[in-house]
Amino acid sequence: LDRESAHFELFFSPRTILISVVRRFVTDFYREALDDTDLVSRMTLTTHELLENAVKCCKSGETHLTISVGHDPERPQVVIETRNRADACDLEALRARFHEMQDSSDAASYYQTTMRRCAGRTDGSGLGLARIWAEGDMSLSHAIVGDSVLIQASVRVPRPNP
Amino acid sequence: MNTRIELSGGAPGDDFRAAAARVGGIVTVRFEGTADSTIRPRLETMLGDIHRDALRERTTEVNVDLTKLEFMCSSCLRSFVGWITTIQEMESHGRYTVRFVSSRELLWQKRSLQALSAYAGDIVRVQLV
Repeated sequence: LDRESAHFELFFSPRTILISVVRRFVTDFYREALDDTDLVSRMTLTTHELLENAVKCCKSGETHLTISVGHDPERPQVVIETRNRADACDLEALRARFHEMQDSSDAASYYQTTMRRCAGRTDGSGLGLARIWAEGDMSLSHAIVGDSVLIQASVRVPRPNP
Repeated sequence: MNTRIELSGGAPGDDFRAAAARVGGIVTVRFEGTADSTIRPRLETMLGDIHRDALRERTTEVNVDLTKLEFMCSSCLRSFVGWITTIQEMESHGRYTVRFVSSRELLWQKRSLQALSAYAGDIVRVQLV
């Protein structure tokens, strides 16, 4: 396998049972493509949480998952994206979570605050995004156009030893 | 008194399993497979049952064996946060600790359990195997 880049895209109607299938594929694929078990573990966590989020929020149709790994020094080297359509209330909740994260001092404290808030709640709490930020050690961004939402998680990684 | 509480996945292809057993004063809960969001309602019920049993039997520690748990999503992690918060909010004399037994090979466990330890260091213990 080419260690310099490894990219794949998947379109599917998200169902929870399929998320684990995708997560296992991501684990197996990037374990071979990259020599970094810690990074692969964080990528699989991120992929699972973004897809769970898509299952919860997907209005209809397909979710588009993209994972790319490259070594362009000008851009993040691991990028994981989901794109799907969502209801207005889910989009509003997502905007609110991103505002909170932007206002927060750091990922670890935001994760702890979100844990405290979600205890005892059964509705959406944003714990998945907080977990990606803190445990996945990923930068997060989003874009909303109409009823389509794109969530992107990215991280720069050290170039592998030759 | 011995108690057993069991839980398994409901959907086809779902490999999740959980079993809690009390033998004397020791409660051990073992998890296997993947805890995804479909599991959460039943997991919450199970953790509630374990909590009530722990109070009734005046348990001082519950062991939670995660060594065969491939992955846990944030919805299920939230159930653990809820359980730990419930213990934290009790009077100190009635509290018990939760000892997570974690696999070194499953790297997500290290990060998730660090977060739970930071959340409730007085309740959460972590043992690596």
